[in-house]
Amino acid sequence: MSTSGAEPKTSPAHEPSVESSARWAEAFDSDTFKRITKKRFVFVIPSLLLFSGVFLGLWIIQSCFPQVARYRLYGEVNLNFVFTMAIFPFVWTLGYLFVRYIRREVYPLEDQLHREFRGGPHHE
Amino acid sequence: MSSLPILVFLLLVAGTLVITYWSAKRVKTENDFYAAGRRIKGWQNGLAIVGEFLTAAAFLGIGGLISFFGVDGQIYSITWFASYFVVLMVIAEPIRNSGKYTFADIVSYRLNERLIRPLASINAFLISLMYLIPQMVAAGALAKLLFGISASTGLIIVGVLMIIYITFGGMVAATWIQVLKAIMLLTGAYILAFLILRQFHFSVNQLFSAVAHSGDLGPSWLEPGRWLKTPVERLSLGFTLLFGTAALPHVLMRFYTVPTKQHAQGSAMWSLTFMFLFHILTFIFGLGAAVLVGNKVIKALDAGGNIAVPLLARKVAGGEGTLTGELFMAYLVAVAFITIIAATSGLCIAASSAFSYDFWFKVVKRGNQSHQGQMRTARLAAFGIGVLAIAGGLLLRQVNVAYLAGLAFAIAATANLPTLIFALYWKGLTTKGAIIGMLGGALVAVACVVTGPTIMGKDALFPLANPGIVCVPIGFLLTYLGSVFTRDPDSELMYKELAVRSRSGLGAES
Repeated sequence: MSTSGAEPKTSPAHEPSVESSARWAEAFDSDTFKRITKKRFVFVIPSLLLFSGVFLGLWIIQSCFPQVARYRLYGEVNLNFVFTMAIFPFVWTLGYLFVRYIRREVYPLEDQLHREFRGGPHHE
Repeated sequence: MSSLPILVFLLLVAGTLVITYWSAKRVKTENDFYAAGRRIKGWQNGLAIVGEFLTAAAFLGIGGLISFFGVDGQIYSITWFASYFVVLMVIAEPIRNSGKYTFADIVSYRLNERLIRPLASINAFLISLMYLIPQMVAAGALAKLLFGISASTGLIIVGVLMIIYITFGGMVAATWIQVLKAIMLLTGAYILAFLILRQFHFSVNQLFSAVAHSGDLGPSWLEPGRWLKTPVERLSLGFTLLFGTAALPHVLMRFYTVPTKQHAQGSAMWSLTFMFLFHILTFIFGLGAAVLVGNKVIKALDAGGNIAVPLLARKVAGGEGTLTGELFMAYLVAVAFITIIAATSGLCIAASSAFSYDFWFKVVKRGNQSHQGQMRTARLAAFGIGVLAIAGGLLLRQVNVAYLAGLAFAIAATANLPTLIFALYWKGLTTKGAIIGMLGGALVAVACVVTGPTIMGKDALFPLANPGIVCVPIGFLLTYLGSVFTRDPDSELMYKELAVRSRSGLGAES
């Protein structure tokens, strides 16, 4: 595998050899990679659903319930404005939590995968 | 307009030329030219990405839009900001791990390169050019408005500076000019917001109250529906901006400039932070301009609303004829113009890499070209695209070319995004499916825009000015159906390699 460090692959598009394909397939089927994928998706899918839900919520309030959107919360400041502005810290916080989660939960597994497929019996 | 803005602008241009000179000495290989030698740190790249997206449309346009129509204009702020969340979650790290310079690298990775790369490169080239020409035309119009020079002269100045930056400095110059511009723009924005809010005792409620009780405005300026009249139009605009942004070639290219996946992720997070810091202010600019300058005054000077923010800056910094007022306005005008030049430079390098690297080096030369030859082609391509953009801008300056920018977003979201997402996350993608999706998606996007209200006005056959809500699902569906009904065993085989590479960084270049 090109991860040996001796020959880093520099051209993405290439004709796969049977040997290298088998090794990538081995990495793909490894428990470590499955855990990486699972850990990533466990965070990404709910986050994207929540993100979509909040955006759709704003759209529904603006489109279907304009009287709710116009509801004044403080002086002339209405719910539509507060909802819109709340999206900024909400999305930023989700992004921050994602980065923290990936660094804590996923990167150690990635390092493990790199170790597993860089040396030992799989070394090219 | 006094000569002060021109003086400040010339000082800034001198600064950018120093950056270009410094960059030119560092551009020795094609890796330096296309990807800044992969030496850009996360926060630097984050600022450069923000620079790419804080265009004149964001800086001057959103404020103007809000001053004319009220808070509906905030949709641009929240969707442009949120699109970086999608980039952070789904795209940034995988493309850094699996590509080299362009979007075409990733799709070529697991699909038949000889078929997919020409299409992907033409696609990226056209998207970048379609986005570049309206920027050039806008630059000319803004030069006339802001500096009092002719539109043609302004357009040529922008084009020539863009050619100098990219031909000599490549991605290194493009990155550092974007960083400089983003810092200056964010600083100017915060000073402006401070000065506006000072007029309202730092109370958003007092600003809103002034809007609600102004004779020319009223409470409806603070409510949705003044500009985006139908729910579908609102949703579709959001869709187009959200997904189009995430697939624009010059945005994707930025993630190749960082050395590691951590920096790629970090740069997306930094750009999210800087976008957050800017976009939470746009309502202050728009509503502030409507109250303090008056939207009738703004409309009388510029029906597009782009003059709203500079006029507001002069007003809150002391007023017309005062040194502070004129100086602050001059600063913002000059920064706005540098903003346009920096944005066009990013687009120029994306278009030139699509031609020189994807098309010429990979397709025509089949990867056999010396380093010097690649550099020569890259520089010639940047020069040629610059000339093409100037010529296109001059030819089309009397025509409303705003639809071209909309078309670029629509094609990016409809043709590029499905292929990119499926290439990274779906085993079943085939070469034929990707070709059907890219060609079909681009055709659908073009058809929707050409028959839509932006071009056909009231006689439009397609009702939406921003067709994302229709086009993007069709793009995904075409790619899916095209893949389901065709076979591509090599693509299935390569999926495993690309999945491991993109999700774990195993084997990624550093």
